[in-house]
Amino acid sequence: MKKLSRRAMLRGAGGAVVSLPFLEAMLGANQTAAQAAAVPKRVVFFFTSCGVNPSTFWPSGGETDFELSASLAPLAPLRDKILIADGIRMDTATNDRVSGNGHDKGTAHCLTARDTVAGPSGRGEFGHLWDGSAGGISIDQHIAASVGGATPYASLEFGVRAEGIAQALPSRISYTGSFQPVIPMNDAGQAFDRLFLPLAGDGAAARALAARRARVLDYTRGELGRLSGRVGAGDRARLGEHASAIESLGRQLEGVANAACEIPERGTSNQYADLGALQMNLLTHALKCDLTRVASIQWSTGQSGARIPGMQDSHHGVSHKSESEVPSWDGSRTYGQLSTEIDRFYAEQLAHLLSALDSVTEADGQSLLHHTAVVWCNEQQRGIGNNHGWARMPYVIGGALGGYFRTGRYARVDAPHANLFVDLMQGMGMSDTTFGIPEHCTGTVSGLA
Amino acid sequence: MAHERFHVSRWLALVACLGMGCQGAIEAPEANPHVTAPPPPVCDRAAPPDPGRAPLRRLTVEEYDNTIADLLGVTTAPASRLIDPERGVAAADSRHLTPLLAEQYMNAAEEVSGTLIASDAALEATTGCGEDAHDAACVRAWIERLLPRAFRRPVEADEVERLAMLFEAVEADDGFGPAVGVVVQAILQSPSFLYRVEVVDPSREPVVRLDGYAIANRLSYFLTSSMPDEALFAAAEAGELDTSAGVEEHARRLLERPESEATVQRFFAGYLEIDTLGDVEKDPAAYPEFTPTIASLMRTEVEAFIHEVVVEGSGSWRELLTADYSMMNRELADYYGVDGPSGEEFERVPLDARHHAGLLTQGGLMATRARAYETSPIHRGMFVRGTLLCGHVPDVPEGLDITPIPPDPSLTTRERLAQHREDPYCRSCHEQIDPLGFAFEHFDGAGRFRAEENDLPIDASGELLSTDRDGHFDGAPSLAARIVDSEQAQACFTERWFVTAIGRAESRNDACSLDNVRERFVESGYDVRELIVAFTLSDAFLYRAAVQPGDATEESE
Repeated sequence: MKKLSRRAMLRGAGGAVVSLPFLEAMLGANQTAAQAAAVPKRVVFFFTSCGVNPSTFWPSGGETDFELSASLAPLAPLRDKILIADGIRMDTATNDRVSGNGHDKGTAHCLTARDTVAGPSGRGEFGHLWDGSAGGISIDQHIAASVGGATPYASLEFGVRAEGIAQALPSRISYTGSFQPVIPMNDAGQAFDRLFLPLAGDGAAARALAARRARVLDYTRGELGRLSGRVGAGDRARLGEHASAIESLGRQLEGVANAACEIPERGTSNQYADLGALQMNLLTHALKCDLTRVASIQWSTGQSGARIPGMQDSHHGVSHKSESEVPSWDGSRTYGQLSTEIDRFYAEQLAHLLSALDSVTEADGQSLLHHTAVVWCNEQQRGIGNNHGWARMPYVIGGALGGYFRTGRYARVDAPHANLFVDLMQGMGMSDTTFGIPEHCTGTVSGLA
Repeated sequence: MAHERFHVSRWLALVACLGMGCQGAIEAPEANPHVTAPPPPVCDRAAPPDPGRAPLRRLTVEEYDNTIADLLGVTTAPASRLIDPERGVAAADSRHLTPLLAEQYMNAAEEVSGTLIASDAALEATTGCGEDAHDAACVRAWIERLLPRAFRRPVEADEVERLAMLFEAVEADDGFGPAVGVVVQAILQSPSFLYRVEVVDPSREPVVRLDGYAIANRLSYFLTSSMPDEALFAAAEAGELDTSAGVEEHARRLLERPESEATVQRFFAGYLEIDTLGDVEKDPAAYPEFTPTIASLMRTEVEAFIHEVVVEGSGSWRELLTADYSMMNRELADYYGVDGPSGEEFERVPLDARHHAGLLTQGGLMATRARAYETSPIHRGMFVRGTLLCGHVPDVPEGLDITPIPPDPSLTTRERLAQHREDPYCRSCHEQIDPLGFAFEHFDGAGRFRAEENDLPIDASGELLSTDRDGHFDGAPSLAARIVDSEQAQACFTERWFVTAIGRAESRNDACSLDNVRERFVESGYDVRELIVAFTLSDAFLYRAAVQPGDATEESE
């Protein structure tokens, strides 16, 4: 059963809801109605860790007549809407000499493409930097900084048990800067309350609340300004960060007040796959209502402790076994097969997300998926055999980013992973030509667009 | 550099190949051991106090919740439910305020204010203004009482004025209750509440002593994880905190309060990285009895032991590392296979002094410094070399074959790591590490004592190298005895406390602060409580660089 918000009168054809008032508010008077009607592009990162089983992951056949592998079979119904990129290397992780732990590096580099940095304690065991950080802003936040002003939330981060590991680095993929991780929402109920509850309230009370909040934010802004004049430069920068967070919050509150939205159902779950389904549903609705244009869904953490249904070993545990070894708890399968099953599980979840986005029709008659790029990115290359590596990273892109990516293909490419970020930025209409460490970014990935 | 440090922990990356083979196929290194640290900075006692940097500190989750409880009597711990718990990170430099956090501070403030204005009775209890006194004058008096406690310093008239105006504006629209609520929300989102602001007057001196209120805040947040109590505010006002004797008196008073244990436990949890117990997985084939419940009991054992020594007992750091007893309940004692209590409560259990050495051999340490199916002398050695001795070991050389050595039931773990000793290339680093780990070979990968491994005798002997207490040891207690006599280990322990006490990583400026703390620590017979008091008397605690508003160059590194 779907509840509609008080402002859900602006329903477009096909059931999609278009948040025109907010768009109009954000666009300058000199922009034409045609531009305003243009359907926005979105980028979503779908993160999983611990690599894949390479012997069952990659398709066989040619660029367009490829056959999906055992691992990717769940994506068959979406075959024409995906792009499998084979030959992307995570060079920045390979060359990072700061952290000594592959999971630190893989998780941190996945979206930042920058060297890790040690934390204030300077310590860590098992090679981890105990309280370290990625070395700078991640691509999702960089894109959000460019396009995020058009929506209430510059970006939204969803987690599916993206928590529970004590070290800092393998926990986080998204950063606004060094030591500034963006923490995902791991609780679907909490995420619903944050995103959709404010849209479901009663009109007069909601307006009064918004007015009071605006006054408090004004007060806070004033106090920050006054204090800034009395402290040193380092602290002033810190207070400046706070002030810009207040600006974002103000914009968010205003945007939410003007959003028109179909409200999904609230749900909570402790089951890994069910929780993932709830989070992907919230993500889909958030994109659909244009609450944001940049999002991520982080499945577990780097060095994943998640147990895929039916397995007694954690994902990380499986990834460090040899391919032919047989688990003590199930004599019928090898660890190589378990690794494939894990990959297939995630391909299935990705297929659910892509299908949901594909079922939403937007103002131009195309699907939400068509206007989006969902990038399945991984922390490691190999998910079996105790030797992860970053030379042939498993990337699958779902959606065409408004026609930027040529989908329905198995593309053999040869590029560092930061190049893919340049594609994403250009696809989003940004003019950036590099990202991360310049020597490990050489332009776009030749062959994807 | 984001973090100025005088010892760059080069040993970190070495652990990438822990427990693995060391195939010395690449060129032999030049004369070894990069194990020596760069020369430490020397304290110049003739120089004026040098407090180093003092970056702005935002309340941690615990500090926020405790402050809300002490200030307003609201004990719902709203910050503990934030999406961003920041893992109790103490270092100000690593804590940034994000839009999400700002949103959640708003929500937390609304939650707190909601309970304060939930009814007329609640409103009256909050403001002191009964229904017959729902007016601006009464509210202004309430703000004047509340604000100095909320901001934890004397406030200026215009600060009260701005909130009184906010109240009046909201009252006009929404009425008395909501307007009181907005005042509470505004205070709780003000930087003067969320941060521990230390505004010092412009001065020609490069360094100034903090005023009594700033000292009161530093003392109370360090020792009780909350805002100053009435006695501290009174002491600040009376000038008692302008002398070291006054500071020491209050430090000792606060240390007697039960809230001070949280500081001690938080320090040790980070120092031992004991939270990793929650992530530990053991191969069920190798260690079928190791369960998440056992892991959590091991965590409790560490906490209960620290409580026993530091809160109830001698406070001795030496005892922490050498005790021949631990704390267990029935289930944990059964797991370890020792005679213990019959109930659920953790009680003191005597252990064999020939094998046990306080924290070092407890399950929490042994199981986290181990592989899923075996021990890891390298991880354990790195714990001793890195965490206990602040030692330095170089990176794993590039190109090294790091394939793990497969288990072999006909050998002991030590025998399988023989290559580390035989190959001169490997030996140059591993002789600094592996033997320290062999000392613990009587404890299996899941933290239990074992007399033998694979029916073979265990050799737990070795040589401690590159310290001021080098020499032979046999087993964990004999290694621990050398460590607690080592000045290097004593200095290291002092240094580890710095970030907890001061809120940032130590730097070269802090040589005198650290020297003074270490001296008092040693003089006290290694009493952790005296070390804590000594930190409150250090230059880094009592002084700060003068702030010149508008000067964009100060505080730069």
